[in-house]
Amino acid sequence: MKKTRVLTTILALSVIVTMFAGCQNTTAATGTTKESTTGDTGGAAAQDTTTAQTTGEKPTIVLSRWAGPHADDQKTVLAKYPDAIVKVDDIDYGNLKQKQIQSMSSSADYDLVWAQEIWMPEYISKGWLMPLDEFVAKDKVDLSIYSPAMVDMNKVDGKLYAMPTFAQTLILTYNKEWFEKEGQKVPTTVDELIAVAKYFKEKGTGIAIPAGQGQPSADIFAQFLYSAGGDYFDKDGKINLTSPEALYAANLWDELCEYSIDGSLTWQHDQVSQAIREEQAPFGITVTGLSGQDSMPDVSKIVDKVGYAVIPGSKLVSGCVSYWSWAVAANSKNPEAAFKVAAWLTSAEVEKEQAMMNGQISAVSSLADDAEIVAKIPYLPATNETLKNAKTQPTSASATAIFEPLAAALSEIASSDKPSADIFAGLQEQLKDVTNK
Amino acid sequence: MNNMLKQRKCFDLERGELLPFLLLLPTVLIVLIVMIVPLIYGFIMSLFNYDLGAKVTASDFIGLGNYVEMLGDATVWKSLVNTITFAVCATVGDLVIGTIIAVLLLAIRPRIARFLRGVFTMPLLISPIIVGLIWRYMYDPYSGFIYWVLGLFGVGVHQFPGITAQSTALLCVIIAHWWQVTPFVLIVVTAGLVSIPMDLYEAARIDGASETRTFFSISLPLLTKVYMVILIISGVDTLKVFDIVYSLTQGGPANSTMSISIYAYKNAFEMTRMGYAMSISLLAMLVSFIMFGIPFIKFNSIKKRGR
Repeated sequence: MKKTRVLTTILALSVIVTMFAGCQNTTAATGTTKESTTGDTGGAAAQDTTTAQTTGEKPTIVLSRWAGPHADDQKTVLAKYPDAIVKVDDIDYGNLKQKQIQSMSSSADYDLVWAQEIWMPEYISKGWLMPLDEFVAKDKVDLSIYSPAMVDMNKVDGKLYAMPTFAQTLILTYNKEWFEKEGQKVPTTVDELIAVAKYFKEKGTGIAIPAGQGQPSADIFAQFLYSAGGDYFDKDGKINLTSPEALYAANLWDELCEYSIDGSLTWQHDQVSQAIREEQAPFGITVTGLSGQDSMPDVSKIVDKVGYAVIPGSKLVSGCVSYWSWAVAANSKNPEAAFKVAAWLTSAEVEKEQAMMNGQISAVSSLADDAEIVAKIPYLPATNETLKNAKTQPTSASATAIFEPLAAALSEIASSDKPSADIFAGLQEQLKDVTNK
Repeated sequence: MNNMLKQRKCFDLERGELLPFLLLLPTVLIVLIVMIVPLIYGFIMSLFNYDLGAKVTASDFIGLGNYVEMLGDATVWKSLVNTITFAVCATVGDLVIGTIIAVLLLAIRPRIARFLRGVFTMPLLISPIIVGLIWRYMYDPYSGFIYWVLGLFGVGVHQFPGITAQSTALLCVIIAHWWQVTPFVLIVVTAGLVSIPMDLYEAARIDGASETRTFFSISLPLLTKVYMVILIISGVDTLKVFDIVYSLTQGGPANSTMSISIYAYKNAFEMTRMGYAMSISLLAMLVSFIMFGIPFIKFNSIKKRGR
């Protein structure tokens, strides 16, 4: 009996002590969020920054971007930055936005974020980005070197929120040797595009397109829509996916899917580029952000055979452009130092260095005609021509609701015999409340 | 008066009656903090229309608005049908294939059986996301193993479009799942089979029962509890399916492999609609409970009554 009483008392005491200990840990965790994230870049950044502030050492700036060969090149460039220690948190594109939002809304892991244009309105409207005008004026940064359209896209109510750096669009990539062998000419009209795709399909291959359910298919649709002179919205700002131009773009997508290489219906951009580089497909619609790898002998069999052309449009050559900008997080502990990193990275010299490394299409206008870069980037002429009349995907807050259903509808067109007009009629009904406001 | 005194003595420290409650308290606290509180929080947040990263305010409260929207969302119902189809086919396949392999391995020489069991268990050690990627390459019409094998029988991508067609994509995901999860069933069923007393089999043999009759009349009934455990663990897992589908098809083509978890994820992290995503997740939980929770509770209560 005595033993039981002692055991009960010990247990009761341990429960009380454990609960107190738990409460203390919670207090510690909430009071010092940074220290609790030991090992991750955010915690390290905060500690480093605090140290820098007290000892006068270089501050540490943590930036967020997608992972891949481009990120590896950028790390090499950033290692030369003289005024701060720059840490790169490069993660898979699919998780990038989620992690950036988490950081900007609460954990403050990042000082600089690499943001896509379709994310910017949301980031700005929620107050997650810092206006850069003061820093621009203080450091006398010349904004006129950048493409005016890209600078304008980063402005809200006259305030600049990000430094533009990297643009990408869709072009045709083809295997010159294969085309010559088959006596085919590079298509310059939509009819020729279909005819060439059909020819190769009958020969056992076809056009490589990213027809898997996802954003790339929506980007191709937008490119067809814009080059037919259409838009997602009517003159009143309401969505109109049953316009003649939208239905034309949907039918064109349907035809290309029919003549696409087997397997294309599950592919995203990576698989398309890879299929062309490995001579599995004679040509395809590719994103310029991956075109740099075509001239890398270790991953490409078409180094000396690759050719590039614009994707023909029914009315004009118009691209769907996507671009990336460096923005300073509003909850950054060291925004000025973060801005300086962004300004340095987007300076003409550093942009040129990066373009020479990996063929990135820079937002710095003068680099489009730079002789060295033109010689280094064979897809630059096709890209520049596409970018002349290029437009982005819709960026209004409600427009983000378009992409998921649109991608599903395009996937349905690609994988079924249902008329594209019927599928788009259903899509229009589903998205009828979306506006460009 | 005496009764009252007796009641007061209900938790008598000296009699050690408080001890069981104290022993249970840590578990109860953990269950409450780790399971019940997040569940209630999730339900409350599903009543708000708020975005990922945004501060939730009273003006975001929409009551059952997310649930009403869910009723009219065709993708929710399509993903629900996909998920249930996947769960049923995947679990039934796991049980049937796992049992067949387990029985066959017990019938061959133990040394070979041990080796083969080890080999068959290997897929279980691979992460589902990697399994998805492996099978993505397997289903490649040009270099994939599946099409190489099918090619030997004159079947190509036009006869079996694999993950490129709405009609066959879900089947392809189910096959990949079988490949990964069957070893788990194999291990558990093997353990169940070896625990059945040998004298039952000997008696059946003396009575002249065939191998098939022995299996259906002795092994299968005695494996019921084992199957129930598998059904709960594997079944609930299949209803939560995410990784393997995401890496293999990303829910396509045309949402034909979209699972409820992937749709909730897309709403939460791609469309940043956290409130709506919460309501979809709660629907998934409700379906899990109806499909596997209720049968489990019923099974347990029947067992108790049987005692």
